[in-house]
Order: sequence, then C-alpha cells, then structure tokens
Amino acid sequence: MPSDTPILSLENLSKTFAVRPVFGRASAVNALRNVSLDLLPGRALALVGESGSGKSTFGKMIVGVHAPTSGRILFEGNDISGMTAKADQKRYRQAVQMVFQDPFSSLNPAHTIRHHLLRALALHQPEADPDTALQAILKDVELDPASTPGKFPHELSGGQRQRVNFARALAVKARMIVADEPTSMLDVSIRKSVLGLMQRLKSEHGLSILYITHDIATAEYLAEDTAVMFRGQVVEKGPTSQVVGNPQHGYTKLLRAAGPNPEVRLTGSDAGFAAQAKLVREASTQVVSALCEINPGHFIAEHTEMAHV
Amino acid sequence: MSPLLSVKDLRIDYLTAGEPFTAVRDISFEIQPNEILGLAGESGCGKSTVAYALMRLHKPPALVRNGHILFEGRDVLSFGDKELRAWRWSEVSMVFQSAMNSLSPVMTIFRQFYDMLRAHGTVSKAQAQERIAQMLEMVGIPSDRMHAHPHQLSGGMRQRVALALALTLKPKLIIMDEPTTALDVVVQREILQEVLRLKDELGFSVLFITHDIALMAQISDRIGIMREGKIVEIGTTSQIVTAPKRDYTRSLWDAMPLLAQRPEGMAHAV
Repeated sequence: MPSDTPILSLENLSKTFAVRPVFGRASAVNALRNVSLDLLPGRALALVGESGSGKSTFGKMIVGVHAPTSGRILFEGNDISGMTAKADQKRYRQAVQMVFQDPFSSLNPAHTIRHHLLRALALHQPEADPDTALQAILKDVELDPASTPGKFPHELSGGQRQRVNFARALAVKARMIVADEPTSMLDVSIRKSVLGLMQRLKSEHGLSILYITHDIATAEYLAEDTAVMFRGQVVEKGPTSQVVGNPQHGYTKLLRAAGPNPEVRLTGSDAGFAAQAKLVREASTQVVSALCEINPGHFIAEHTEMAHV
Repeated sequence: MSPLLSVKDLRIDYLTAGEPFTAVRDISFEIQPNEILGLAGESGCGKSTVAYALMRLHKPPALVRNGHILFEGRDVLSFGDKELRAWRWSEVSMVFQSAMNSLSPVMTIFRQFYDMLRAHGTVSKAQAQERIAQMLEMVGIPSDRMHAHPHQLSGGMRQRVALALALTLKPKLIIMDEPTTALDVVVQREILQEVLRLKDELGFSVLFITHDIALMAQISDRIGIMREGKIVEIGTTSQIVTAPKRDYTRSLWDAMPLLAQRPEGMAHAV
C-alpha cells in the first residue's frame, strides 16, 4: 500500500552527548545536528556514512534507546515522545523493530530459536496457532522450518542468525525495520542473499526499512532513497539513483570514488586522493546552512563555506 | 627470477578432541620479489592459518603436518629459536587483522618502536627517535605524536602506526591479514594508496589477505582463491576478474553488490 504519507518522519533532530571523563574537562559531542528525513511506507531508506557520522545514534533514537535533545520523531504523524499511554507505546514498539549489526550477540545463547520466536508470537499474535505461525515465519525468511526451531543460536551460521532476527521482526508483525549494518559482519559470499531477503520483505510484506550502512554499493542494491551523513549532518539526500548514480556533494563523491572497484587499478601515485579527502572532510564538517534542491527530491547541503570541490 | 617465498604442499591440522581438522590442505604457491599476491576466501577457509604459519606464529593445537616454506631458499620450518627471532620482522613482518588493536595500550608509540628496534640491534635513544620520526612521517603522521598512547590516536592513525612498525626494518615481505576491514572506505583507500607508494619506494612484496575481492583486485598482481583449505584457482588479477575459470570464483563475484554505472572520470579525480 504505497502512499505519500511518510510512515516515519524526523524533524530537525539533534542529539548531544555530554562526555564527563573521570579526569579532564567535560565536553559535548554533537552526534546529530538538525537532521530531517522521511521514510515512505513500503520503501527502503539507506543512511550512509563513515564510522562516527551519527548513523547508529539515529537508529537508536528511533527505537527509543536515546531521546532526542531537540526535534521530533513522528510515527504516522504522531510524535513518539507524546506516546505516554502503555497501549500507544506497545503499538509503536510492535510496529518498529530493530535488527542489529552483530548476529552473534543479538540472540540469547541459552535458548532455542523456537523460544525466541514463540515469545514474540505469544506477546503480539496471541490469537494465532503458535506452531503454524512459527513454520510460516521460518519459511518466509528461507530457513528450514523442520530443523531450525530446535536449534540453539551457536548451531547457526551468521547469515542464518541474521535471518532469525528478521523472523523475530516478522513474528511481531512489524511494519518498519531499523537495520543497523545487518550485513557488515557477514561474509561477503552471503551478504547479497541477506540483502535479497530484505528486498523481498519489502516487496512482499510492504515493510519499510531504514537501512544503516557504510557501504554505498549495498545501499544502491536495496534502497529507493539514500541519505548521506557526515559528522552528524545530512549532506545529501534523495532518490538513490541520483544520490549514488550522480552524486553532487563533495563528500558523497569522495565516498563513491573510494569504494572498491575491481576495474580500476590503484598505483603508487594517488592522484591527489589523500589531499582531496582532507579538503572535502574539512569543508563538510562546517555547519549546514541550507539544503538546496537541485533536482526534484534531490537535496544537497550548503555549508557555511563551500564544500563542492 | 627466483621466488622470494615458496610454499610447497603445506598441510596444517588443528588437533581436536576427535579427528584432527585439516584447515590447510596441501597448498602450494610462490611470491616473487616486489609482487602483491592476494589470497581471498570466505571466513574459515584457512587463509589466516596460512598467514600465521608463514611467520611460524601458529601455535598448538595448530600443527604443520607436511610441506615446506622456503624463504629465499631457506627452510623456515627448520629455523632454530635464535634464527627465527632474527628473521621475523627484519625480513618478514605482518600487519594483523584489526591492526589498530594490535598495539599495546599501555605503551607509547615510541616505546613500541624502541622495543622492536632494540630487539634487532643496538640503538641509542636518539638514533631511535630519529628513525621513528622518519617512519611516522612516511605514513603521514606528525612525528611529535610518537609520545602518544594508542588510545589518543584515531583508528586510521593506529592502522598507519601498525603499518609503519611493519616497515621499519625494511622487510622483504609483509603479510597483511585483513588490514583495513575495520576502517571506512575513504580511510581504507588512503592506507592502501600509502602501501602502494611505499612499495614503489622500498620494493617489498605483500601477501594481502581479505574477503573483499573487489578491493583485492585493485591492488594485487596475482590472486589466489581459497576454499576449504585449498587454493581452487590462482592467476593474474585480470584473469581472475575478467575470466575466472572456476564456478566458485564466479560465485564469489556474484555475491558482491558492486556499484553500477560509474560516472566517467570518477575513478581517480574526486
């Protein structure tokens, strides 16, 4: 049911962490600075950025681990900080599920897969027959419904465990998944199949996906829309075909150029890459003064100093 | 040209409670002087085991059952303790997986270099300082940072320090076991570019181990593909990229999402 009303929208979101070390002065870290993004139902939005750019903070704020310092998170038009009634909170937590980066630590090692999924089913789908529902869900994530339920997490591979995590989101009938680097700890040879699963969940179940990644190539593979973050600010956002296919902001260009490409041989001379990278980083750290729409839906940041080099 | 390193029929077992597990099954390969050989494969295929065995860093329960490792014609597996200590790092060095965590957290950068320099000859503090400053500058770190502790440096800088440590004694071969997997792409690119520049300058060989074959194809001269302890295919980079002979190599390529339609002129110019 594609529509134009965003399932999730973030308005001028900022997050500042206070760092108070045992020794030395307290300082503030601006993890997010004035970020606004929309996620449309049944689509995937990729959030791309280097480590420390604030993309995981973003995911954690959506699932309620951190509260924003300022700004609003709207779920289908309702501010989530206003959801104080237990029923509202439960409804939101059911609708929005998170899949973590590390498939080895996000399942309880002492329980079988059946336990993991039945608990979710009992809480959120009490009317369904547990065993039938379990079988259906496992089939949905392409795990063997006969042998998997009795297994413990350590008996599954990383890719299979990540599938269990997606199954858990399906078991609570989630409508949106926040996937924080779900493939970065998996072997390259199975990465694409997990991306394929996400693609299928999106098209068959109409799930919305916020896909957090540092790999611009996987963003292109999965997401309709992409936002590029650097040092807590969105520097470029829009349809993936434009943002990744024809990047306009200096930092996106840098990311794109640095991605491994088997057809380009590197040589001892870096053609000024390091110097360029330094310049672009410095320029992109400046405060974003405005987002400028260069094509319909395709925005690039304008910094207080020019960053488009 | 005689090879710098040649490995013949190397077999490594891990002793377990039951049957021994053979991690490396009779593999043979050679590395020529000034060559970058890439070794790619899924996790668990034995590529790190090979790397450790080359430096004789493998420990029980790993056991070399069979084969030879010849470095400039000398049999590495028969080295005595003293010989081994002198050979390691001065002729072959290693950048470890997650290299940025391979530095000692309680020693300054200077101290870690100084330890290594003293283990391989007598140096005065002043001489060491000069040499270390030179090495740090070479990998793009201001030399006054040598008195910092590792936690005061960023991940990329620590990785560069690990690289500088591996290069200081001008070894002929550097083994790099997933040297950049924990870094983001821009920093990764900067460091690899650095490695290539230094290779042109100093002329060493590299054994480059990673599961990212796209990255490997960008810098290697030849690539070997490992699976379940065997090298299933080895050839020049252009052959592995454009005309892989084995289905497995092809399936590795198919499993990687690669960027489509790269705009022209984007490769080097940013």
